Amino acid sequence: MTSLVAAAAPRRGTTGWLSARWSARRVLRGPVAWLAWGTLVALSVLVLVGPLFVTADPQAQDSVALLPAGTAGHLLGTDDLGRDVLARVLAGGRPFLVVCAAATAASALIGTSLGLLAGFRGGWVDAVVMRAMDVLLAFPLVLVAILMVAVLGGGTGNMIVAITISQAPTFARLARNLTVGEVSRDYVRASRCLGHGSWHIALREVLPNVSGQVLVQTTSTLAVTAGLSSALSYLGLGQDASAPDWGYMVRAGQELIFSNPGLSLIPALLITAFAVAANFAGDDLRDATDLGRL
Amino acid sequence: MVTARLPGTVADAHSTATAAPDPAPAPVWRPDDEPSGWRSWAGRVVHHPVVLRLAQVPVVAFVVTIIVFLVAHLLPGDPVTQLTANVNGITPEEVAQLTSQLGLDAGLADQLRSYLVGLLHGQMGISFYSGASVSSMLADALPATVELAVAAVLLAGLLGIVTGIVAARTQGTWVDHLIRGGATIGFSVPWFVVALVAILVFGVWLGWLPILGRLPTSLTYEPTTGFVLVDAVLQGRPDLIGPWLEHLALPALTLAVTSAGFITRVTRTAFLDAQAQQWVRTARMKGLTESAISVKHVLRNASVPILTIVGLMFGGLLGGAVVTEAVFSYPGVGSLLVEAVTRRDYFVLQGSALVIALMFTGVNALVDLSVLAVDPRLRRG
Amino acid sequence: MAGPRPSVVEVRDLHVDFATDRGPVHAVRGIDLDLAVGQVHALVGESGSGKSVTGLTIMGLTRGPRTTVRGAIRYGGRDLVQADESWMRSLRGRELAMVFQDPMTSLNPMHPVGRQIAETLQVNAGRSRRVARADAVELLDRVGIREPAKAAARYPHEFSGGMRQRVVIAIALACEPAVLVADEPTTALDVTVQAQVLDLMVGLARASDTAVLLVTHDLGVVARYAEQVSVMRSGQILERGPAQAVLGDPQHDYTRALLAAIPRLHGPRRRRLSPVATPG
Repeated sequence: MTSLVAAAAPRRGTTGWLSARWSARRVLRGPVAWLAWGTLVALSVLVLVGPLFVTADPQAQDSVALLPAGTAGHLLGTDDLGRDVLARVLAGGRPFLVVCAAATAASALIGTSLGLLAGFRGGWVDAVVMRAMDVLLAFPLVLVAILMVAVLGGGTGNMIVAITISQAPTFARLARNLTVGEVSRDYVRASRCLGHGSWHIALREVLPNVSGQVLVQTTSTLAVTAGLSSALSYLGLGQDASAPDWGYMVRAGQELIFSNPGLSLIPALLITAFAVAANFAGDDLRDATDLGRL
Repeated sequence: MVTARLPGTVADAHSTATAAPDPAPAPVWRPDDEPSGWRSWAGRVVHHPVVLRLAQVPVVAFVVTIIVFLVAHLLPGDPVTQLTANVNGITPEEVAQLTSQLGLDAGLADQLRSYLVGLLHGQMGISFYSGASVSSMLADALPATVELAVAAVLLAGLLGIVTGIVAARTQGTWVDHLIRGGATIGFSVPWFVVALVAILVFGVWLGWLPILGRLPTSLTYEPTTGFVLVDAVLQGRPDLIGPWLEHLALPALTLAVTSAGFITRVTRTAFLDAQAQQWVRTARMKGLTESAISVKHVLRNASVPILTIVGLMFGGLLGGAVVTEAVFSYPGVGSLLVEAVTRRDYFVLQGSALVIALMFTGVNALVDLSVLAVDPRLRRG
Repeated sequence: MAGPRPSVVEVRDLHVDFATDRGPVHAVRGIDLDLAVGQVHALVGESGSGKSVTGLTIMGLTRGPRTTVRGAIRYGGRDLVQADESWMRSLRGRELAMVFQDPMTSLNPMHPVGRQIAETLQVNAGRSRRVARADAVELLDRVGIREPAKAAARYPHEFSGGMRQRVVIAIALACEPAVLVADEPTTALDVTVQAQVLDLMVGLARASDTAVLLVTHDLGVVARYAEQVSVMRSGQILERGPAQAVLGDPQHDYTRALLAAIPRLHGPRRRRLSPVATPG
């Protein structure tokens, strides 16, 4: 970049923004942040790797029903159909995690792209995209998700689509407002003077400068998605009953709360831990952004 | 040569280019020189922010209605098949007759038109399950949800704003950190988990509060307006109020706990931002006490972002109400919706989704209008 | 100019330290200052010299858990450094007043300007709301705002910067305080407006025998309005005296450098501007 452009550009540079930005040292302030990120990582590992260590089949109904926790061979006991609880808990995390991660990533990607597009093009593109987002935002998020699930049916894939549709507008609106603010700044004009095309400017100049806030929104959405997807499963709208899924397990275990409280409480606790950790991690990211370190 | 006309400056009568100078100097702009006459008055009214915002409401409501209609039509399954699922020996002619009776054989546009017309007359179809009219079901369920939402908002608002201000005033101390941490945990926990814990602790273990429904089944209640509090006064039945509050307590608290956390954080941030503003320094210079400053200068300015977020949060609250009502078997619009989705009860689903969406739209408009009322900078557009 | 006037405020050996994450910041390092009745005392220096902090400390507005103030600020027979907060609060607005730099943000955007002026009259002069409102209109007239009755009902964003600063001056001088601290009151205003606002402020202050501490970095302002001037750098006062003497015959190198750094209207056009060396 010429010195003029370098002078006009805001502090966050564009060279090597990936490497400079993502070093863990810039984030992770304080014990709470460590605990939060650690929980997220631990839960993910547990869910992805855990089932490999458990020999029992989560679907097998061969054991005695309602064994208490601590029984030999069944660390957390069994449910009313004789299925091993530990195996179910570990296996049930997968759909949950997959839905959360996929829906969050998808809504972030799609929403941010739409927002960038709208903010950059302006004019009728901006108007059309934003009005479409407004229409979606005119409905409470849960309602959108429920309606989408009703239309598309249950199953992991459809849940992801449903939640993505309900969350993407938030990203779109955020990205668009930020983009509009950045586009009028001098460093964008300077970049255009250098002959860079819109794609280049959007991806290499503007995006790094809005990425901080988008990231914060991503962790927020992750927490919301966790609550939303498990709520949908809890209401019986998501998965089918036999495959283990945390949200559904909470509901199913409710009636048996006195015989084996773990049936309900353990998945509930895990879901809660995930959502809480995601929000605290988001706080950490927000602090890092505010202090200009991200 | 183009000269920008700034208010208060005289147009540049000098022209250094070869172009002809302005024929006459432009008049100096004065605020009293605004054009007079009814046309300009009408123009000013139409462009007034309040009017503009109010005008948006019917438009949004209309779009929402159409979308709900379209979505309902995308639902898999055929209403007629569902309706006749349990009827044995039904003939194809009767099926066709039923189809045309329900107007489901017409084209999409015609169906939309009859739907809209029906809405205006308060007809929203019938439930496949109970056979009751959807509008009567909604008339019963809506007040319950409104009561729940209002109670939750009041509780959450009170709790959230108070703790938010305390956290802002004690910024940096352990009190602040405790409140903030608690608030984050509060709004991270999924509604149904809170509900579950609430049921376990207060309903089952301690046995203090009932966990099911809106009123005890032993109590007879004939709704006049549908709102228990109002009816208790109108019908002269104070015995309704106690049980009503008991049944409302747990669902409302569940919703309030999750929402309050959000409000706490927003209030704290808004308060700190407002406090850091320079006019607070002026107020301090005048010798006002800290509490007078908090109330007169900080709170009013902080209320704009707070109100905005409360409005946004209401959407989340409605969503949470849907889940919470299901958990507590609370007979509101939310549980109607969930049941309708599970049972594929076409018209009930359509009606309850519409009601929820319209409520949200209305609340958003209210929030925007109250922000306009509070902040004079937004009023003149 | 009249003979030596009695001092209203005597600052002796003032030290102000702030505890920051990067260690203590010594904003003011042992200064002496006298404010005389009805006179303008200019406090000149570059950014970061500690002049604003001095003004704020006199008002007691730097008090906080991270601030350490040592020394004495004598006013009305008491030491303001030692005085408790409630005493300071009673003085503020009534006998000590301040005008800040940025008129855009000094006024609360949600209250009409008339109410903001009336507020200080109600709190400090104990006037009722109705009387205070009427007095506010009169004050608006005195600071040169057209149609003061209508203006009192308007909001700050409806006024230009110069007019807002007039409102701020009205608020500050409403109770005819003994001391006015003006922290770069016209730096944020258009050049054409600066002189008008300063004329107004100094004129009103002199009329009510208010001592003015004029914090500025503009030597032109000093030359025009100040009787006394103190030159400040890095928390210390390097030179002090009657304005004419200091500006006409500066003793300290720094003062000379400041004066030399002003671009001259006449003289060689290609002469380089001479920078003022800053320590550290």
